[in-house]
Order: sequence, then structure tokens, then C-alpha cells
Amino acid sequence: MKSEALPEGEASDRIATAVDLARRIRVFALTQTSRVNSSHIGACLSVADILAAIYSRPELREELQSGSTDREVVILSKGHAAAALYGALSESGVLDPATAARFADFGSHLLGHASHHVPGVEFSTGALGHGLPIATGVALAKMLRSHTGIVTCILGDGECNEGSVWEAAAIASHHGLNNLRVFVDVNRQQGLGATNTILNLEPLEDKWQAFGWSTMRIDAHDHAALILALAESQYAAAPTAIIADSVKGKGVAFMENRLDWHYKSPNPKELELALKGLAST
Amino acid sequence: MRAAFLGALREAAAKDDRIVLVAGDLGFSVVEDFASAYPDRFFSIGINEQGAMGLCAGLASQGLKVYYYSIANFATLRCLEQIRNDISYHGADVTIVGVGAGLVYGSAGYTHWAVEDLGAMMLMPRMGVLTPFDQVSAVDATGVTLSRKGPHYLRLGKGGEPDLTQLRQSELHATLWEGRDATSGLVLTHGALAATVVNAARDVQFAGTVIAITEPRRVAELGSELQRFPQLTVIEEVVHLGGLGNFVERELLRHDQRPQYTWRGIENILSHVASGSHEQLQSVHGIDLASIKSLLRDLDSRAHQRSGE
Repeated sequence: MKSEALPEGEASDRIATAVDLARRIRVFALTQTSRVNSSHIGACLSVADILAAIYSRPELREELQSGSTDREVVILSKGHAAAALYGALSESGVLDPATAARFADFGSHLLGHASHHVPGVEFSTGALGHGLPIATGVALAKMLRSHTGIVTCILGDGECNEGSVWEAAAIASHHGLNNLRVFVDVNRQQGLGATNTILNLEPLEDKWQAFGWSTMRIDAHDHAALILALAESQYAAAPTAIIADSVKGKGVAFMENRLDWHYKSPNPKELELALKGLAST
Repeated sequence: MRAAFLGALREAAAKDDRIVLVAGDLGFSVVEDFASAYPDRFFSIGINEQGAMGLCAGLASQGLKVYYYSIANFATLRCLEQIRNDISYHGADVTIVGVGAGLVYGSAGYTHWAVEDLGAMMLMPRMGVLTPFDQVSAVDATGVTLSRKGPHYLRLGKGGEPDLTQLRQSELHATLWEGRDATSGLVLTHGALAATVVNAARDVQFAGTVIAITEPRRVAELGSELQRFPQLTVIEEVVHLGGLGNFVERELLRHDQRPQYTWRGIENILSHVASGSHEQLQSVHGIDLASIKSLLRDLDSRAHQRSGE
């Protein structure tokens, strides 16, 4: 996928498209998690802009639909943000909306953690720490078979507690897998509290650099920065880690930075309030 | 068995460029042939079983036929969740090659005794489990992994296994001994222990039949065959849960008519956590040559008594 510096008009168009997709992802995730009373809305909202920046690109849509071995492979390692992923796939036209609307229903393939039975989802994830080793294998295979297309893996910051993440990081840089990039959604919350109180891994960029990765640190909700990060990581000399500072629950004022929204599901009243807030942005 | 597997893999790799070998920093003096013949398809990945197993899943997803080689416990228990979620669940074309099955690592100690790996792999959905007993059957088992697509566990010894005469074989079993009264009793075994069982059978002139099972998961397919024998014994160098005996028992319980059944294996792996050669450790658990000879004599005399009734 070619990427050059975009002319200003085109850049602002792409940003507008991504911002709109992000809003629709948030609406989907809120509506669906509320409907089936499932968890992880906070994590879905923090990663929505990253997913929108990735899936708003028409080139990726075409590649996914063609199933080409040269396609970009996107792996949501923080698989509990499945509702956001399904929203991105549905709202960008990869997944049929009628199927998407059956999220977590009995018999639906749209399981609460990312499921490879869903069109557009490359791998099932949900147990943290699995996505990056898999992504590393995909990147290595692409190198071996001379398949183009970058591999994009989205991790959570709590997920970086897992040793297997670092096993993969070491392997990736040792083997020069510059066709691999990672987004780390740094929403600073994990299961039982703030990441810096449970297992502080900051400064994260230092750690990824120490493992031989090229790094950048951006605001996870700044679409101009996201577009630039996607473009720059396309041609890096080493695997790239994009450390993206986010807000858990971003986009819904009463959910922002609140740990309980990792677990709770919005009730109908909360859903209405949340959707109203999004509509006015 | 290791050399036989690697030789077969190297031959196959000449005709199939999808084959890659990922070694977990193990295989010194055995992997070098493959590595020098196909350097871009050999990955000495390091000591990182979880990362490596996920990597194997990723490689397989892009159309490669992957073989991961390590010591049995490390290749299975260390990365069991990756095997479950990334390999098995996705039906990935990955063969996990576990070396040093059973107690063969001897005085290396507990961490290296592979006695639960079989059960763990039998628990994995869709996992084809292959338990060859000598070089010839190891080549056959390698052939099975080459001809099929999907997850496999290839459980190998450490080396020096003598080739055993196969009187009859199928995809899932090989008849290794038939005594003077072949239907009087059946002994099932698997892996490198088969040689010890056959030696014992020869030494005591065991009256019945000895069969090595090479695909334990499919032992139910031998259902009608098992029913022919009034006496059925399973001898294996693993713990009971999840082993061949466990699967055989499940099969036997489906029928009202049951043979006289005996299981001989590792009752309690912690009963002797001390040093010893392979044979010495086997003797502690009643699966060395002398113990098996004694068992076979006992089985013969019970069969004889019963037939005299």
C-alpha cells in the first residue's frame, strides 16, 4: 500500500472520514454491549480512533475483500475490544450489518472476544499476550514468501505485562521484521486498577526501543497523528511500536478514566445519555 | 527416532517449499542437516516456547507447513494455551515434535520427564497425536503429518530405538508379537517402550499378542478388535490420566462384555524423584524389562487358568 505525504485537502478529508468512522464505532460498541449486557465498553472506546484510522482506508477494505496474500493483516491482540472491531468492520463495509447486529447472540459467530469466524477478523484472540507472537509469525512468513502488506497488531498496555509479548518483540527485532507494527493502547487502566500501581512499565517507549523497535508516542485520539503514524511505520527500518496515549471510555464523559466501565454494561438510560453525547460531537 | 524424523522432513522439504522447521534452541547435532540444506526455512528461534508457538500459528496462517521441535515437556506444557487457542482452535497446519518422551532423560530429572505431555495433547481438540516406536514407524508418522493438514503432536524418543518387526500394521497400530495362542490376550503399548515389551514377550514366550498403537486418539476404531480378546493389558510410560489406557478403558466401558483388564504405567510420578538411568527409573515404576516379563508371565498364567475353567 503506497503512502506519500498527503496534500492538505486530502489529509483533512481522510481525517474527517476517520473521525466519522470512530463515532460510528463508538455508537455500535455502546449499542451492542448494552443490548447484550456485556463488558469491556471502556476498552472499546479507548481504541476506537486507532481502529477507525486503520479501517477507514479504502485500500484496506479492498484487500480484506480480495483475501490477497499481499493484504495488510490486522490483529486485535486486546481481543476484549471485539465490539469495537466488529463495529469497525461493519461500519466500513467489510462485515454485513445484519450479522454485526447479532453480536453475542446465541449461535452468533460474533463472540465477546475477537473471533476468526467473523469475516475480516484474522485471528481469534481474548487471552492476552497471544496476538503479537502470531503477528510476528505472519510477518516472518510474509518476508519468507515475499508477500507484501504490513502486519498491524493492537495491544493493550496492561497486556504488556505478559512475557509472551516480549518474547515476540525480541524475535521480531532480531529477525528484522520491519513489516510489523504495533499500536499500544495506553489507557492506563487494567483489571484491578491503574497500570502504574499494579505493574508500572513506563516509560513504554524505552522498553520497546530496548527490544530493538522503532517507537513513536502519540495521542490515540488525534487523527492527524494517527495518519502520520500509519504512514511513517509503513517504511520503517525496524518493527515499529506506536505508543498511543488514550482515555479509557473516551467519548462518553461519565465513562472516561473509570475502571468500572471495564466491566459494567450501559443500561438503557446510560446508553441514551452516551449516544446523545456522541451525537453532539 | 529424531534422526529418522529429520531425515524424512529434509527429503520432503526438497519437494515442498512450504515446509519450515522451527527449533526451540534444541536439537544440537541433529538439526544441522536440515538447517544447512534449507537455511531460509530453518529458524533457531530461541528459548521462548509461548512466543514461538504463537509464531508457528502465524506462519501456518500464511500457508506454511510448520514443524516445531523441542523437548516434549517444553513443546507442550510450557505453551499449552498457545497450542489450545492459536494452533488447535484455528486448525493450524503445525506439527509439534516432542523429543524425549517418557523417562528417557533419566538423571536430568523431573523437569525433563515427559509423562503428562501425551494426556495434555490428547486433550487438545483436533490434535492428531502420533506415537511411533522406532525409526521406521517414525518415518511413517512423519509421512502422516506431511499428508494431512492440521495440528499434530509427534511424540518421539531420544534415540537408539531398535527397529522392530511389524507383523501387520495399519495407520493406527502395528502388531509386533504373536505368541502360540495369539487370541488369549492382547497387550497394547506405544512409543519407545514397545521394544522393551517385545523383548519381554520374546524372553517369556508370551502366548498372546503385542500391538503398538501409533495413533492413540483413534483407538476407539479398534473397538471390535479389542473385544476379541478375553484379556487386555495396557503398558505405557506415562501417567494414567489422559494416556492410552484411559482411552482404551473408555472404549471398553461402552460394552457389557469386558475383557480382564490391567493397566501398568506410572501410578505416581512423585514416588521416586531421584536420580537414575532410564532403566532404573522404569524399574521403580514397574515398566522395566524384568517387571514387564513378570507381568506377562502372570498374564499368561491367568489366561491359562481361565481357559481351563
